[in-house]
Amino acid sequence: MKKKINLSKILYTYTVLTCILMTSCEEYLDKAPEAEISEEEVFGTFKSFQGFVEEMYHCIPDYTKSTWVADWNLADEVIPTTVDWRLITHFDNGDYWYWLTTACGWNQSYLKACNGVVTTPVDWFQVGLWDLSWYGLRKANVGLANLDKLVEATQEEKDLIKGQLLFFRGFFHFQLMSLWGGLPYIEEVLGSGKLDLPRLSYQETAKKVARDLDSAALFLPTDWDKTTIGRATLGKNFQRITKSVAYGYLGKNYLYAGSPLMNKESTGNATYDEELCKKAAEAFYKCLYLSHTGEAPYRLIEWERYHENFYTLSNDLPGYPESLLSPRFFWNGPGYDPSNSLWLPPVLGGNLDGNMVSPPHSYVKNFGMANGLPLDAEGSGYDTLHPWTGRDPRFYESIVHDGERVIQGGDASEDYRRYANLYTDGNYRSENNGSRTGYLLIKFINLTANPTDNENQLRINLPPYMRLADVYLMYAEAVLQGYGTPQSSYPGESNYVLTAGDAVNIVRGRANVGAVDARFLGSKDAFMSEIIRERAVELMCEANIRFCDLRRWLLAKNMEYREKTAIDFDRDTIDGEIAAINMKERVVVTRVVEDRHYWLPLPTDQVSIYREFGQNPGW
Amino acid sequence: MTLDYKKLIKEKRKMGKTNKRLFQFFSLSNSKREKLLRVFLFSVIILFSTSSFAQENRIVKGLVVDNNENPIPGATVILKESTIGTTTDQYGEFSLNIPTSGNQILVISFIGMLGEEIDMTGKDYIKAVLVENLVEIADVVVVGYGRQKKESVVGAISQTKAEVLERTGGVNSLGAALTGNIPGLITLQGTGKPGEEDPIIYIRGQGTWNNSQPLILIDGIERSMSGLDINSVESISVLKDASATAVFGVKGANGVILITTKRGSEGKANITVNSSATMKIPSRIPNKYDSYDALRIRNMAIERELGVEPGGWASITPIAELNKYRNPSSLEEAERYPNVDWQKESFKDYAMSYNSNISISGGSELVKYFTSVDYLNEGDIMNVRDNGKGYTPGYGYDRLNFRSNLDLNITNSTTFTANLYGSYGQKQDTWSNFEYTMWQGVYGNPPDAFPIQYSDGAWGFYPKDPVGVVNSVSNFSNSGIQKVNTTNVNTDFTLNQDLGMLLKGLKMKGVFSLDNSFISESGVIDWGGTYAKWISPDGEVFLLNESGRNRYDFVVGPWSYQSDSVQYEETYRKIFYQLQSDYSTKIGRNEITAMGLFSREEYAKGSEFPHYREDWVFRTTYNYNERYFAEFNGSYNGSERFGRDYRFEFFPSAAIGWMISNESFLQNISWLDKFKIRGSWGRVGNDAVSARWLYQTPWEYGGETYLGTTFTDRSPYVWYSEGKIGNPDIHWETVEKKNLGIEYAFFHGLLEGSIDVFKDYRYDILVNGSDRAVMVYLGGDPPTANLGETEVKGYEIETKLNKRFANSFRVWINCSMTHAKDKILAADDPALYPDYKKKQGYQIAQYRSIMISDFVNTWDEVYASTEWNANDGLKLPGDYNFIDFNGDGIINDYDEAPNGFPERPQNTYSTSFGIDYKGFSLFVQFYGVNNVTRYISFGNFPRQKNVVFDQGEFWSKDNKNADSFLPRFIAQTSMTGNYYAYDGSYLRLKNAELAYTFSSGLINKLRMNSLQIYINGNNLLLWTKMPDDRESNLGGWGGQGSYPTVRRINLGVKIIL
Repeated sequence: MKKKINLSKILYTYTVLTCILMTSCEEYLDKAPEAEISEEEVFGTFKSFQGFVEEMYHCIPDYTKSTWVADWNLADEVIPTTVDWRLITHFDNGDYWYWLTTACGWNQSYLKACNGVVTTPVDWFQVGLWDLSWYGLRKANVGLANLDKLVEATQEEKDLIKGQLLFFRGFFHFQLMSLWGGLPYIEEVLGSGKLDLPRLSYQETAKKVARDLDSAALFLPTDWDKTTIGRATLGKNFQRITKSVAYGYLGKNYLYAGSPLMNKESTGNATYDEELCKKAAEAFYKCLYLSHTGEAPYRLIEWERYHENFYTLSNDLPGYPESLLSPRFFWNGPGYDPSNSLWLPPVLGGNLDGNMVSPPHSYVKNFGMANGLPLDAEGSGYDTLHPWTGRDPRFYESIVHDGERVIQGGDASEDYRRYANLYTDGNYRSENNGSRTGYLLIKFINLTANPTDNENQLRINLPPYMRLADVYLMYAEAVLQGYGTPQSSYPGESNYVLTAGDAVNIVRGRANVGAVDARFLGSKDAFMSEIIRERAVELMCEANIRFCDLRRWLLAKNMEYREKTAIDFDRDTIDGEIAAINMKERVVVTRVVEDRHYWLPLPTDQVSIYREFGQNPGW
Repeated sequence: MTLDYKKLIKEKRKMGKTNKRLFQFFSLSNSKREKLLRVFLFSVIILFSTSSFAQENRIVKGLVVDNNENPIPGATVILKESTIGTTTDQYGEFSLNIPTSGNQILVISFIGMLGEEIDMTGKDYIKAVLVENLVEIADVVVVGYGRQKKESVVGAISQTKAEVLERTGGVNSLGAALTGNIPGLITLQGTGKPGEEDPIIYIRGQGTWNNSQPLILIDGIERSMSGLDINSVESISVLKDASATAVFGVKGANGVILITTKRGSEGKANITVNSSATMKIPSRIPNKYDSYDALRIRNMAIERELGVEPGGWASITPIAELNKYRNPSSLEEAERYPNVDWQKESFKDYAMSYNSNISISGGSELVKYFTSVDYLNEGDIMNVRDNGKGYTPGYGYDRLNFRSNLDLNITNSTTFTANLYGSYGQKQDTWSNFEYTMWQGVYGNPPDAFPIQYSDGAWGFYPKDPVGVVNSVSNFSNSGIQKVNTTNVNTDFTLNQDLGMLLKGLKMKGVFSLDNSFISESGVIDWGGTYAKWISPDGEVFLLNESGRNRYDFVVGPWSYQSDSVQYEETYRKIFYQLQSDYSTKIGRNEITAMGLFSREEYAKGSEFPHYREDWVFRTTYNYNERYFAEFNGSYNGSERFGRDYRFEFFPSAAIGWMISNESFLQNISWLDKFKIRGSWGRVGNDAVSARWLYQTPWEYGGETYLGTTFTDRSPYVWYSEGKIGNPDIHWETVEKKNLGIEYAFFHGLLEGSIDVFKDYRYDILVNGSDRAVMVYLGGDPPTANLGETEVKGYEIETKLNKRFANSFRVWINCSMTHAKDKILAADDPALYPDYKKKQGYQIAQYRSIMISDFVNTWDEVYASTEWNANDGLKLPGDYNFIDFNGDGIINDYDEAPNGFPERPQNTYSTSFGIDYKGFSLFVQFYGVNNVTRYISFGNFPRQKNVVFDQGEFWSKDNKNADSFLPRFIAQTSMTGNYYAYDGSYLRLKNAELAYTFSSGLINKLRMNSLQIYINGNNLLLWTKMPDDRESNLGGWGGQGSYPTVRRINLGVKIIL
């Protein structure tokens, strides 16, 4: 009955089975081919390559929206209410390490992303200048290294790609170095091997930035709408990088590099570097000339729409046609806007618990008179009893002063808050949740955003990084410092001669402010003082312009920029007009500024890897 | 009476019967086969009708006693290879009806005793003397891919069994039940949330900063033990050294937990019903001051800091106003000046949980079965208020588990095993995306912010900071209900074939397993809309509504039902198959076994690409005359996580053992029961890395730029980007484990124990990009790399005392202690860091901070104190002096130095003590840990909220020896050093149980075998310096508190029919 089992048969079967299993195991553990995208797919066509490039536009963080409370006015422009977690407060106390604090929700700025590198930020909680700039740099280098793979494209398309890549490589370096000083210049795709590039001096880094921006300008179009490929997005191209943007940043890069702080860092001389200033003037001139001839679309926005540099009350993005470079706008719906709570005191519907900032009197003093004179100049017409009469029109665009009518509609029940009660003990004032200084900042928000007039449903806030007015003023500074006098101009085209003085007056003229008085045209220093004041007025609270200006001018340590003051006064009516009596200026905050505060500290772990990448002095 | 274990073992081995052959079955004539099948089917029917059927029978009687002549009630008496059986009565006597023909051997057994077989041929009455099994009740140990005799185990393996786990006092998480019951196993619990009480588990400390959780296998297949009911667990084996874990190759580096579920055994149907009710009481919650005290302390804080923050005047609260918080004169005033004890309002005094379990097991020679159904209902400690919306939210956990384990003997040499396990768990939660806000409210809300509900029914809210201060009770009561339903269906099929006909001792085994789990969600969706208001202390009323403040209208958003919808991205499936062959032979005194195995696994969740794994494993063991043991294991593993060059690796281990007590020269020492020395060495891997395909730099696609003229414009060009930067050299972590152990038993089992010393050296540990010292200008997360090295050293001591007196009085004590300390040997630290800043040289997750010394008491001392690199101008008397660790004259990052310990204890201690007397049993277990630091910042005045915790006496100029610094209010310096780093040591009365078992008299008349009533408890008492009762800042609001952990008091009944 028993069947014999053939042992060899079993062994044979077993061996064959084993072999089958063995040979298949390598493939068995392979990644599924469907899970991969090839390099050719990424870089093969303009469409895909441009998709690769455009992520970099998202690496320009919107500084006004980093969390529910955004802080970017890191110098003397504003005073926050008495809370401990504001970035401004920490900076005022000299705690520059705080830029590294990322509490994801409250006390953090656009400088550092909430959760480390978020490579494709699509909302404002994810932005961070530090992280995104480094990411963008890698991206630019990866793109440049793969340019040869872009085969199916016209020359124009290839140029567009190359121009953008070069611009962003220069731009991201500039973003970083303007805050942290000279850095290694990253111009290749780095691998995971040993990284030991030395930090260059500021000017060495800047020269490499300039090289990239300069050649970017060659490849970039003056107006995307006029390119073949731009027609695909006709009318929607305004925010793309152009020749003008490249020249604007090229000039800014040279001007910064030639400024006293950077010159001192690189050469030891705490003065302007004339050569670099001349180069800056050239670049700014090229930028302005493109607008002058009408080739480039950038113009100063007319005075009536001045606020559209910063916000609109429609679906349209702000900035057209003055803005050269804006961040991306991340919309979270009506009312969800950090600027709401930043500028409005609780009595106007702002946050009750101290999210406010208010401009200090020490800064507001920069706003001169409509006639163009500074307040303290003889014959300025400044009246201490009526301090808010006859001021520079931009004062009224940027600042709410005592007695100003805030609420337009509503019945008598609104009267308790209808006019800005910014006098001492007025209901707009409070140390812990109102105006601490006697002023409100209104530059980035419409006055009618109050709960009664309620024009708060659709406001697009998007202050620019660089706009044409800034280019005019930087041109003025570069020409003054490079060529020596307010009457100097860059030796450009004969049909477009622009002196330093003209450039400032163009900006003032747009705001219907009187030209620079002759008293300030006699010397370099006198005119420089007007440039400093003009920049404070025109560019108040925009990006980190003031923070960088005070530093690069080596002025940040001066007491006048360290003491933030408030005014205490009573309201009265004199000659039928509201008056401020018993006015006293009081120091609220004295900023801690020492030599080390000219640069932000680098993260400790980064400067502890090798000696050639060291910490900034004093940190 | 001396014990002859060897003889007993030999006899047992004889019991394993051989062997008719598989093909016999197939070579039978049809009629015979039918006959066999009929017998098979018939037997199945018998299984479910527990009565035996009539035959020619006779009655045999007997008495079962222990070696002190005490009768043993409840002992099982079974006619061998049949379903006929009974148990002894209260006098230890039995009477059994057995067939006159056939097998005449009775198998007599009792828990804790060695079984006895007695041939009844020609006898009607016997007296059986059962000998206590003093050395080890379970003489078989579950090891990787098999079982071994306890005697011949040479690895470091601890095993615990069902009874130990069942007395843990109403704990429903298997992981939590293991705490203190396995030497070398360390657990950390962070939350008491129903259904989420599984702790973090470490075996012999933490050897890597990557996944350091042990591999968990249930019935041989990698599975989660979360949701498994304790009642269906037979035993848990914890494999700790390389000789035990190397067979799991690239998965076994962190230790392995093998869970074996109960199976049927031959005999009549055993029905066990176990039902219990558990009272859960919040354990320890940090104490917060009331409004009056908080505001008073705030005044003190403001006063102190006026010098640096004159703006603080605006925030002073006058005494008259303070009094209103504590003694309001009217309801109106009470609402303007609230005083809310958020913890008291949020938590109930206790909650109830219920657990019922019924299991039936038994079997015949042909089929053995174990079937169980387990139902659990975990109650909620949260205080839910009526929201007036018609639904009642809250947390909760309901679970229904079903298990059926069948073993079929198809032929004499073939067995087929089928396990079916199903589990349905329903976790109830709120439908809030911001769950942490609940805990933020409970622990962090100021008492004076607002009343939870105003007298008109309006909920309180806080317009001054609606995000920072949330009405957690309102949120909790108005955030809907989220029900997460988890369904698990696991099926295992195993075919065992004895190939003795080919080669004596050869067996083959094939396993095929399918696991599926589904998650679905249902409930009530409510976005939390409420009628809410705030009355300021000035009496001003603020209403919360959607369309801007001070509009006197409000609309509470409607809530809606969410019908049960499957979460497809969570759907999990796994296929596992395995082929195993075992061979054992005995040549003279040499006993050799060999095992070879091949397995593959494929699993995926949602729509991801499936994960693959492939293992080749072998093991050989050698045993010479029960004296010398040797074992060699190896595993050849593949993991899809690594590139082709690193895909497969061989992990070997070897171990030797010497049972000295079996040497002939020691045979005459009567008090020496056992003395064994064993040692092992081996390498094991860990591939549990964070991401897949780390060896590649992938390209990613998706997203577009916000470019255009309106805010909705998007660029038409879709993003491409470089994914995570890859590292082609990436490979697994390897740990080299060494273990030396002794096992001993003296004085006939009175004293027994083991000592193990171990050392793990782990290298090629993956360092995550963000933890690497790589320059930021790389431009992306640096690639993960094998740059870490650690070692873990430690020891385990286990001692058991067990004394049985006359009159079945028994006392036992088990003590165990584990010490495990890790040290980082390399971790890619920045090279220029001073040693104390490096991770190298310290434990994983070593606590580090700037350290406080004494108070700065005077302005002189302030000026003399070391400069702070930030906020130096805000220093005041009453602050702490910080230690300038590196002596460079400034307090900064470089003074953050290691102090204290990690959050994971270095030492754990467990002591159990028990008394059994007849039906009574009493048991207590203490569990403690030390050398542990836990950072829990219950900070005061966070974001200027009037929250002050009771941290003892505050500093003042008249009380310079205070417990705590006076908190800051406005001019906060955010420097608290290591003030909030608590000594995390604790001692718990972990478990206690009092039980009485009825096993005779009325019980028998009710046809029960035994009835046990027990009261036990878990986490009953706690001694610690920590402000709360959590072992880890897990869950909830992290360091700021979570669902409170609970103490449990459990009343239950267990009936065996």
